[in-house]
Amino acid sequence: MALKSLIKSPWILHFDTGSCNGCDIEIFATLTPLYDVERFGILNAGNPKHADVLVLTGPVTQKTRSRLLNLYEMMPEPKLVMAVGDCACSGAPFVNAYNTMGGVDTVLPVDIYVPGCAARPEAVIDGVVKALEKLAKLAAGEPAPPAHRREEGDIPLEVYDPEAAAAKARAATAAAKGAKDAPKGEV
Amino acid sequence: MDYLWLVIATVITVIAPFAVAVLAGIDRRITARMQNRVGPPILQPIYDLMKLLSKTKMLINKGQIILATLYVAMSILALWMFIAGADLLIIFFVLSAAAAFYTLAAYAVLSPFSQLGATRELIQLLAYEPVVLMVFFGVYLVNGDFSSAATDKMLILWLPLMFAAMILVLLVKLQKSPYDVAEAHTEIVGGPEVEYSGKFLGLVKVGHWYEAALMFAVISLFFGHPNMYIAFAGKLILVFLALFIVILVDNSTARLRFGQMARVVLTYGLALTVVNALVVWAVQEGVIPWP
Repeated sequence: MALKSLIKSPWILHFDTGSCNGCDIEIFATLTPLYDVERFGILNAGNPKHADVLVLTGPVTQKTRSRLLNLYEMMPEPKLVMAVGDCACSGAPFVNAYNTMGGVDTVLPVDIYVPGCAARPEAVIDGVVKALEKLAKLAAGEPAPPAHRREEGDIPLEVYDPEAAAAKARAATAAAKGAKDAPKGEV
Repeated sequence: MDYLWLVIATVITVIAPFAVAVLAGIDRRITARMQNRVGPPILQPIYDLMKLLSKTKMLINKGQIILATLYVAMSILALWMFIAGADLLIIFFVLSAAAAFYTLAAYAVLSPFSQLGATRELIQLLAYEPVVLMVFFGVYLVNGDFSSAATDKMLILWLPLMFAAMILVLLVKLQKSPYDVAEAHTEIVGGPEVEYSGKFLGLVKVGHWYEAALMFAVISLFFGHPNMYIAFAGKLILVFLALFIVILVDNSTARLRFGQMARVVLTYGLALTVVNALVVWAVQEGVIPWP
């Protein structure tokens, strides 16, 4: 029942988790009268407490992680998470960057992945349609792919540890300094 | 009072929000056509409500929800009293109480957007209430009493300026631009609505629909005819006309600041009603000769 009624009026909340704004612009293009997503009852809620679908763009940075979890918890169930763009899907070029967590699925379970750099409005609409298909399946009691949460070991991700990195840097500096200060006569 | 009519009034009160939901659907459809797009199905507001009511409960504090429930109850009571043919002045006070509860509910949460919205809601309450009161007074001048029961008199011929003032009130009450200052989705993310979620947002929406139903009922008061069918058709056409004007204004203007809203409604809106009331009084007293 809950899912069935959600199919006809998915309200979205868009959050930029660290995107370059390319995908954001495409999402706003999707919301313009040209594509008219209100045909499907889709509204841009702009408020996590009113929204049903969380649309995320960009790799999750260390700074946005807590905000993202906060927004996710504010949304009442049932809710969907949609990762738009290559960065949100997998982390793309930022995959082992010291300041990112990787894709959205390292932080939240993701229902729909929309790849593309940047994802075109048509692809975003297609993603929403896929999400609604999944909801329809769940509402009918049919099996549907569960939301995906990337487990450790899925792809090798280096966990960034500032302490260890600092120690490593200190050791490297000390080694370089030691090499410089070493008496030349020994060689 | 006739008990059968009270039962009928109750039935109409139960159906009213669905009628307003269809009107809201038509509103969204016409808005979409004005923006050169297709738009949602006519029943979209009902789908939205069903979805909201089926979501999980999340509440900030109990006080907010109790006050919001009182707001909805007062809105329902105001509409029921109107259909049952009660005194317009009492309906006015019940309507004010509803708006006051809504404002208090918004003040009950500490979100800055909610607080801002509540303050704006109060300002807009101060702005449109005198106008509504004057419109009810105009109805009294023509009909001879404050009853909300439909009469044979064609009020719009007597009170055309009051009808124009009611359009201003409708713009404020239905949260349409340029006077959607309290809601202001793009500015203060929904104002008083910001902290409701799921089921409770649905509850507040129902309250809004009851308020809108009452406003449309006041609009329908402006048309009267001895023939029941002509009267009904005329009332319906008048409501659609008012709604169309509101949609047209909504789509061709941008939001003003709440101070500007208060200024326009309290000067032009109130002046329209006062002038209209004075002219009606002068004609009735024979000061102005009327054919």
